[in-house]
Amino acid sequence: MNAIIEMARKNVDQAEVYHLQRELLPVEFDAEGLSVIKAKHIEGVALRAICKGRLGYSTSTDLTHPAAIVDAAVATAAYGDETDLRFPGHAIDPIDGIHHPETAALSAEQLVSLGEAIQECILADTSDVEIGVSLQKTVDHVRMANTDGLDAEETRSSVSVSLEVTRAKSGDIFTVGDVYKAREIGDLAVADITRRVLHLLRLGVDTVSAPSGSLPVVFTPTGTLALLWPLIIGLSGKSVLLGLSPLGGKIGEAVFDSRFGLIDDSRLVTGAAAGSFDDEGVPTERTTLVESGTLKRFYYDLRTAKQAGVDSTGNGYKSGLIGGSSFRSAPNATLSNLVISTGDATEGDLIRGIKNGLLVDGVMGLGQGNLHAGDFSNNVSAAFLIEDGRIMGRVKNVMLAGNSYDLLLHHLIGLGDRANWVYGRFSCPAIAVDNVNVAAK
Amino acid sequence: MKGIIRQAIADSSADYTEIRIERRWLNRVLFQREELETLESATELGGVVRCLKNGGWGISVFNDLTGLSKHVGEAAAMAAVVAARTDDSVVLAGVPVIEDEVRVELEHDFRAVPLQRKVELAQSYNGIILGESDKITATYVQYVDRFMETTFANSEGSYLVQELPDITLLLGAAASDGKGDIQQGMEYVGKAGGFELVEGMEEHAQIAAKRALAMLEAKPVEGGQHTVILDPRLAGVFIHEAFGHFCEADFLFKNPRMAKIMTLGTEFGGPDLQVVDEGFIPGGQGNVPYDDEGVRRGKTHLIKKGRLHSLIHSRETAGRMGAAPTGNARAVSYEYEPIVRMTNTYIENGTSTFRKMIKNVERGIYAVDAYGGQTEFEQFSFSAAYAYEIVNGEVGDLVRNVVLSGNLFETLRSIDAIGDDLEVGGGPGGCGKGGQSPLPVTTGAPHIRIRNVTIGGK
Repeated sequence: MNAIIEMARKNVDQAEVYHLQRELLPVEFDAEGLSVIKAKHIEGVALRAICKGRLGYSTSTDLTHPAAIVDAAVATAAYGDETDLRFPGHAIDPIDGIHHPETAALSAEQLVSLGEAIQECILADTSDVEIGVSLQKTVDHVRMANTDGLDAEETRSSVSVSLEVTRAKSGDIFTVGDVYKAREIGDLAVADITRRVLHLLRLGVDTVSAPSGSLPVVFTPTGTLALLWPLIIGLSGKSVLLGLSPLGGKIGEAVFDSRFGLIDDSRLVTGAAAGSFDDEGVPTERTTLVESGTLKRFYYDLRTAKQAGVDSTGNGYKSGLIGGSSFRSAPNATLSNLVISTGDATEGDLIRGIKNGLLVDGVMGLGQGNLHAGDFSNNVSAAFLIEDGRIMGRVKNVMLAGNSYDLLLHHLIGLGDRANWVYGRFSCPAIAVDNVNVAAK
Repeated sequence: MKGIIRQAIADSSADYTEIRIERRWLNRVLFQREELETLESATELGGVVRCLKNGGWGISVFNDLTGLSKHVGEAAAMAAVVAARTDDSVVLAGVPVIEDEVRVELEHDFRAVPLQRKVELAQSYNGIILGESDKITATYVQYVDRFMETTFANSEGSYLVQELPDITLLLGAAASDGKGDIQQGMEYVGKAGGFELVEGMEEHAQIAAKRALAMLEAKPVEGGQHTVILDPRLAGVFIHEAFGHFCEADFLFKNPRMAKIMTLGTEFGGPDLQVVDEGFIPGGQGNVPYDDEGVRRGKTHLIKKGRLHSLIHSRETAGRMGAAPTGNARAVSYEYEPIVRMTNTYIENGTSTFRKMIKNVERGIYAVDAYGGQTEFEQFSFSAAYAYEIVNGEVGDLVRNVVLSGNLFETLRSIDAIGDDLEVGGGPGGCGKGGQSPLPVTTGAPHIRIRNVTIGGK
């Protein structure tokens, strides 16, 4: 990596190297038991180079040829976009607890044992299901350096479980799933991992016919993503710059119900996206995006911040909307750990308050509908009928449609008092809203 | 290299060992609005070892190729842990040992095209879209080329080297009415081919912009049950997403009750419904001369005369079911092991025509292309890119927010007309399965008509 920086220094005005060494140990169970164990040793670099005010980019996994990596970045810079970007050289404040040597040392056998315990726990409760479990140890060692003096490194280790349980009868299939991530394996308790899935399986034993119309809906923490997806896009500084966000120009305005708040917190070590610096070497921070319904800030990477004339919020990540970060993609304005404000009702209270409506735990095809305008439109994958405050059974073939901005401003019924991590990086309570368009077949 | 690979395999303690080494070169140009948003050039070099020992699988993935034998040892050790914990034992179906080299010749090899030309071409299309109207508020013009060379060797003696080119162009436009409504228009092409594919696309850039503008004026579709005609692109995405994935034998092993529904010979549609997965069509992005287990490409009828005819297989699933491997074991990259995947998947031509099938539709929807879709077992849901009303047998006004959803098996039975205008095509997306995405595939169909499709709307 030093070779690349030194070589680049001679050829370009500014250079930034991102170096990832990733050790993964995935252990996978299918319906018939342990199916495969993999050991992955991934190593790659990404080089951003600014030559004569133009930005170039190259990536490679072939570290034996540093000159080729520099040449490729310089070549792209020749035709690259003009930029007045300045790579940062700030000091980095480390985060405690982001790496545990015990996590890094986890063996395949330890992960296998946890997977077996999860399967046994579910089968002890219900026998007519197929269980898929994947467990994974991740150890990322990230090193970043740039020609402005940045030289930062961090090891981030975690262990995750993803669980998918399916009950299939003739012509009817019901799947519930969950993803849990933790910094230490001891934080992944079998009872916690299986409780929600087993609860949903019990609620879904009977199917009932669904109502249609404009109805109240309680989204479970997992279900809230359908509602939050348009906001995740609309709060991006990039969407605002492109003129695609309806929130553009509304900083300081009450755009949501006063009980609703959103914080992007990359320093929250329990969140899967935690890190002391982002993928551009910018020190991370806790960014309040929405407070008591009022729009406070958008989130930015270096480039969009520069264009908007503000500071980066430390949200330059090499990843898509729900993660999957690697060295390959160029950094983009992306949320880290998104924390949604909690309310004072339990999920049970929210359900009991509904006379005729739905409980929605999952939808198909996240990201469908005209997201920029705030519209979502999804078929449900796991949803239940609520009548007089009680769950009557599972509903199928139901389309949900609505506008997130409208629902969270005018039709918020309440927020749950407990947040769960969804996909490890969205901390969500249950959310109840009225006036969701429900179309049953 | 060949000697080192052969030696590492020879030293393996596993019952079966395979090594796949992959090299790829990639260039990507992306314009958004006036900005050259992304310009990148990447090279990848990596490998994967897969070992079968006492009936269990172990895998080792790496970028540093210097320790090949070490990774073979690691994969074998992982396999032993699996074998010790599980009763069922993997058996691979037998296939011929092959040594071959598949090189490609491109009409206009994109590797010889200077980066500047690629940037300028994308920029010119971007300019056309931006210039169409003041209401065009955003663009997404992306050019990607990728050239891949894979080397495959296994302990049975096969040794294969093949080249796979891939080039795509996406022309996206977003228009705004200035009052918060934003609509999109998109055109795209993709091919296992040369640079000629992406040239001369000026008209398509204009079409994308014009459609985004027209969508601003489109009225929301009325939700409910409709007779729907799908264009070849949307019908192709439907058959791949909603049906094709059920024909993947590994999926069925994990879902035994689903496997019962997918019994060979079961009637799923009318006698003129035929669905094919074919490992090679000229320029098909899903082409695999040899799959990632070294099995020669196939042409598999998934549905023949309305009945389930065959599944698609890897050596493992074929071995378990006593079937023949179909050449469908594919990995998205060296970071992954091969799993059962589609290649070029399409509905074969029927005897109807678009004219005939629309003629007696009093009210319905003509849905074109897909922006996205998802399935969860037999439930599917797709967003049409755009759609028109059908009124008294004719294509009427543009409508928006068309999301089709339903039950696969009911929907297949409700196909009541299949056209004779098959088109198979690719694009910038790809198929995702088991965390492996995007895998290049193509999909296609003639126009098809389906009764009683649920369409969400407001």
